[in-house]
Amino acid sequence: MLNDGLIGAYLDGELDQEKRALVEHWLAHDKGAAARAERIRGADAMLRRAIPRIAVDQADPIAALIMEGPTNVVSFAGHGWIRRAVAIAAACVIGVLVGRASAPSMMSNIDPKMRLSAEIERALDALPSGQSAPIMGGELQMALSVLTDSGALCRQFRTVSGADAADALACRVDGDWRLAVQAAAPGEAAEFSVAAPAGSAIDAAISAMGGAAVLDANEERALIAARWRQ
Amino acid sequence: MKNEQAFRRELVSQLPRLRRFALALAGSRDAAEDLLQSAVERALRKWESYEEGKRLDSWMFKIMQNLWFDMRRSVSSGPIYTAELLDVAGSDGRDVTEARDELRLVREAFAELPEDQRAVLALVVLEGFSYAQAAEALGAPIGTVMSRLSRARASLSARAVGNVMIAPIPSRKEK
Repeated sequence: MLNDGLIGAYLDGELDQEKRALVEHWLAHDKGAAARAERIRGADAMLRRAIPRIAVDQADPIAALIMEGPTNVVSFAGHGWIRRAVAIAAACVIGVLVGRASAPSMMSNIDPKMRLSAEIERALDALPSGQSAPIMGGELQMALSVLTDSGALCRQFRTVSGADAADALACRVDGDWRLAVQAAAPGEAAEFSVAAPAGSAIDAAISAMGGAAVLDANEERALIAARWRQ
Repeated sequence: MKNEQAFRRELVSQLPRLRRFALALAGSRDAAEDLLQSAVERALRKWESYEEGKRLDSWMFKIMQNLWFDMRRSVSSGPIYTAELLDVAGSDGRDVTEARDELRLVREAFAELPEDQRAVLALVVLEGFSYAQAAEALGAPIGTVMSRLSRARASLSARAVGNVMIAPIPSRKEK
């Protein structure tokens, strides 16, 4: 009798000519077996469509890890936030705007006195991640939104003015946006960079808040509509 | 492979497949990224032991499989990885989780399979490995690969394709 293992082996091209001919004969004369074969074939095809390969994005931190020198092969253990950020960023076809923090001005805690300009606050209120808006003769590029483990909503963005660029993280504090950290952006101001190296200012700020989960587009859209009220 | 840069480039070119296999094993994107990264780190440390002429993907799948077992053993005091609904994005950024219901059902059914069955399905059905290649990558006998594959396909097709459960006819090789 034709069992499912044999049918599968037939579909996988694992049978020699003699067994293949035997299975084909059975399938031609046994409607039940033929139906099972079709069901297996159909499930395989659907599985291939349902789980596609995931392309390497320019912001892929693992591709960057591979192409770095062996002395730079470091573990990201404990930096799950970076991975989540990049994964979501890749899915949304946006970059992760984290700088090298060459001249960081950071705080481990959010200073409520660090107010942002009204233009930046408006952008933080309404600009979806991956989009840009003009501000103060320059441009603000929104990177992503996160919910920290301590329950704060934060947004990471880059400001570009001429050759100068800075990456920043702002968080909601008592209904307003407050600057949590900012750092000089990489030299190529207009380009999205790969993930932050461990120890970057923004990563450190996120870690100080206990980590964070990146919000997906639907979650972010809902918060924009709700004016970031949780 | 004597050229380290060539090895690295080849490894990057394999990332889409490696990431999909990691996702199949780990069942969640975060756990898959942890697994993939650990595997890449190990591969970079041991690249000189990779034999030129062998399939790099198979070598990496074996590393990932071993690492995954290690990670599973160590999760008692760490994060618990669950086979949550696989949530993957297409290569063009299109979110396939929004695709048709039938594909969602397939992903759900796949995510609920035991790990060893997901691994063998990933290798044979998704990657097109022969049974012998899958057996080598998984470190299992071919008969085990076949029985896992048969059970996995039966579960998957029953849940995702047919509305009526049809029990698989046992193979004599089934364990």
